Amino acid sequence: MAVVALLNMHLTINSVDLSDHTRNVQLAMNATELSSEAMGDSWEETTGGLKAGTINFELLDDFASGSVDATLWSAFNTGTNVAVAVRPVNTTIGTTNPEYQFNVHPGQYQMGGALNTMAMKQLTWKITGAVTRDTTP
Amino acid sequence: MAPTAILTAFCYIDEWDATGDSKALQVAASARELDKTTFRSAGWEETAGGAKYFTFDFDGWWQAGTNLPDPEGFNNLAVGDRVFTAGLLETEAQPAWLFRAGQFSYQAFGQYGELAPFSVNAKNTEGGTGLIRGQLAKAKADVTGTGVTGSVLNLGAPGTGQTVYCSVHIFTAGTTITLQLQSDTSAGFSSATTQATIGPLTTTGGTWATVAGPLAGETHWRLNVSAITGTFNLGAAIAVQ
Repeated sequence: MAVVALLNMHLTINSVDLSDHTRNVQLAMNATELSSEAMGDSWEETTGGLKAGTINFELLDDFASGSVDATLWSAFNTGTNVAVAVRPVNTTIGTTNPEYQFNVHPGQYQMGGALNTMAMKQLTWKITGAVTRDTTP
Repeated sequence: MAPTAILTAFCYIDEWDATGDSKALQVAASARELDKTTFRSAGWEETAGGAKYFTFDFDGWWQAGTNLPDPEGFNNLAVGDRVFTAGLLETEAQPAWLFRAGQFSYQAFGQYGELAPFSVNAKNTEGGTGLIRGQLAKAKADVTGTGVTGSVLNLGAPGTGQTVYCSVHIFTAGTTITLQLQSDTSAGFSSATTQATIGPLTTTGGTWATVAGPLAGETHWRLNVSAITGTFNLGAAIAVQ
């Protein structure tokens, strides 16, 4: 597959498809870097520890029932972890269009902005538990 | 409803209608992230939510005078439990956020040649309630007679463990006003139940009223003026959470 212009990403939060309000989605994952060099090594050595991640997303806010604000407020206010799915193209999952599926702790919420701007939400939620990379349609 | 351009946001703080002084406002809330990873976490960190907290920031153009940014910002520094109601659309039945908070930061003035700015940062001062999401019941306006004021809101019936919250802001006061927080099972209000009486209120300021759930079937809410002498300019919001 060729490189992908991000024109039609898919984002679902707590089973609500918010793709058509999404301006930016970044999935960042890492593994703890544990130093494991020892005597005899002339180079530093790293062993991977626990994995972790965050999803940073920017949405056009929408106060209609069941839309952006209601969905994100409900998740934040309830405080229980919710499922998120994100893939680069809002078409069928496949080997060239993998979907990342994970739970997040909805630990941030915001509302507001400046006069004469679009109401937006820009949030970072921490991934909790394993991330699944799904390539099965 | 479509994505929203921020053109008509509003902000009521006790007796101060900060709407006409402000050009930006933001509620930012977070929950403490508590690590709960164990050896059974399959190699991934796991997180549980702890206590929530929020801040409310707004800024605008500085002025001094009654109910204007400077005395409101300076005199109320660290005063707790002020009643706040804010939202992005000053239209009844649109989402509104209610909370009790204290102003812990006030900044005034700036660069030579610019219009004098101000900014205020507020934080939660009532640990049991926090940030409440409801609807604007009464957009700021004059009230002169008895009867229903504002709009009927469909907030859903409060369940067990939920509370009905009502914020009332008196911006200019007549002699006396008494409000009733009423509910019914439908928008027609054929059999209104008064769940709380607010007042009599005789001065400017903010009032916070609560009604404990459950109240099965009581899905619709409104404010009714049961007694009034004089003209009151007020705004109010109601929430079920």
